[in-house]
Amino acid sequence: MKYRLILFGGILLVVFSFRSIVNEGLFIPETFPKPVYDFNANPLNEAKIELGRALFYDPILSKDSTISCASCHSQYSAFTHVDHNVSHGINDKLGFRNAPVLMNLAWKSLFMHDGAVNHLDVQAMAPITNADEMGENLNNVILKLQKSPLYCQLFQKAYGDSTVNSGRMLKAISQFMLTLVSSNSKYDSAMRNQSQFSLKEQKGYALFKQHCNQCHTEPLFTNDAFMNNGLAVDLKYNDLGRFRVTQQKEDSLKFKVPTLRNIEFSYPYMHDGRFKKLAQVFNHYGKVNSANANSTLAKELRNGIVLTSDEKVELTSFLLTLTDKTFLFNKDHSFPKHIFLKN
Amino acid sequence: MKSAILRFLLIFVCGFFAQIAKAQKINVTIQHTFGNELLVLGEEGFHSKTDSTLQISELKYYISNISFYKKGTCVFSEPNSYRLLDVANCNPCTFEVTSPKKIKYDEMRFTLGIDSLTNVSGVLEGDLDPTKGMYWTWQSGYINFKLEGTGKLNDSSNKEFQFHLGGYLPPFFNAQTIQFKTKNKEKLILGLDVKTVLKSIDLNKESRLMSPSARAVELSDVVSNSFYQITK
Repeated sequence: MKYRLILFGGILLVVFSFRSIVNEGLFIPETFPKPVYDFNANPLNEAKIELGRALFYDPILSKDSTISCASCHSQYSAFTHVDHNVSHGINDKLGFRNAPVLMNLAWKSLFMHDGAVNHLDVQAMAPITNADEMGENLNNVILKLQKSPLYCQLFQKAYGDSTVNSGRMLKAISQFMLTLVSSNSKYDSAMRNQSQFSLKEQKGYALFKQHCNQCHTEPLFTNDAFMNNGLAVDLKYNDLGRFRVTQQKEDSLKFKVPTLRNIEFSYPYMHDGRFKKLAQVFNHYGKVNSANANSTLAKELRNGIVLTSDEKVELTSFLLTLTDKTFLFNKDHSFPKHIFLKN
Repeated sequence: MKSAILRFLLIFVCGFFAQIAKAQKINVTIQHTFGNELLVLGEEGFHSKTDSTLQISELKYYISNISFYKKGTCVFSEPNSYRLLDVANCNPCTFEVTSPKKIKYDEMRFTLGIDSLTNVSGVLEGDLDPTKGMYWTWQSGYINFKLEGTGKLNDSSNKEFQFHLGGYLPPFFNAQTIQFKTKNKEKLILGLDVKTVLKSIDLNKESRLMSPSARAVELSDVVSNSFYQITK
């Protein structure tokens, strides 16, 4: 009898302890390649995702508690900043680059437009400590979290005790960001033969494969590389992109190729947000060529991408199939009312 | 049943003590000086008696990958060997390296700074915790060596200097290997003379270095050559 009780207890314990473990497969679509992120080093867990989500939406991470991650990465715009060409920080300070979209981050090897950050787990430190963004210091963030009854609870739930340290905080933020997976656009369902492209979209897809896919490679719609797409250097920011990190001439004016997923909602475009409309982007690619651009111009753009106006319409209609409403309106990704407005 | 457990425990405990008996502790001390003066970084920092304009406010660096060699062959390489030495907390700084087996050696090697793999391994704990102030948050990577203070210029005014040396990507890979022929002693004493480092820098021309560069590699080389052995 005693043994049975122990056995029963043991089974209960095992079941209970596995309850909060999340199957990573949920966040790794079958059509995507193998993720870069090592999930074994930070296995997803409901309570950690929840903690990360709270941290993501909480301005407590900034110096004066006015700016949260979500301030520049809002869900309805595929986790970027819609109204602004560059990021806005505390005291109305301005950054010098367009906030990038946040999605499918487990497949990225380097972060930021210039790849200055080399791991998802250390990414959040950059905006937190940047004087023009959240302007805070890490030790201070940890102190504030240690004093907060809410985070005492959330860290306890996530890690089994309420200790706050940089690793726990940053890995929880990573966990939330890793759940931001977009793979349910019309394009995806067409690829799964669950729906069909319209004729226009189909033509646009053919044009895409001909002109864009080399760099904005399916299914992630980026090749994750740094390339010069021929934009003239912005005189205000004089931003040389990847060169800033490597100091190598051949990297001058190269920026990370962004994903095109959810492009309908992620305007303005380019690293400095200089284009508000897709039409401007097409115009740029129509004009760029090796004669008028810097020598590091991507070889794919040597002759530009010249499209007729019909082709632009078709390509646009294909790009709109990359919109993923289940992602943009997923309640699991939104402001966690149940945490912040509980009382 | 009970006696089996006891026997097992006994074997385990004996094994444990046998291990300890075989283990060897090597005590390493590093003493930090400005010329002949011991660096004491109080609240006001260190003020040199021989160079009235020099003040040093911060000296922190990583040493990693400590290993011992005999006739060029590695006899012990400390696992997980990462230490942050902060001269504000210790000078001389002493730490122990424990080899599970007795070793005989004639050379000690260590790295000034952090290897590339660790630099791309995300957020780490202990001395490698990014809150230790030795991590570049805007451009991932560890600061291998940090020296800050004020010093004299040509016009005899004082200038603040900040040298943060680091970088893990070629061609600016920054970490340096340092090696010393030693006697087979249980206590090794090393020194680092910051005067040699500062002598190689013209503060009129450069006073700040805060990202990976060719110059940072040069300076790291100077720093690694400013270590010397005191063990008698």
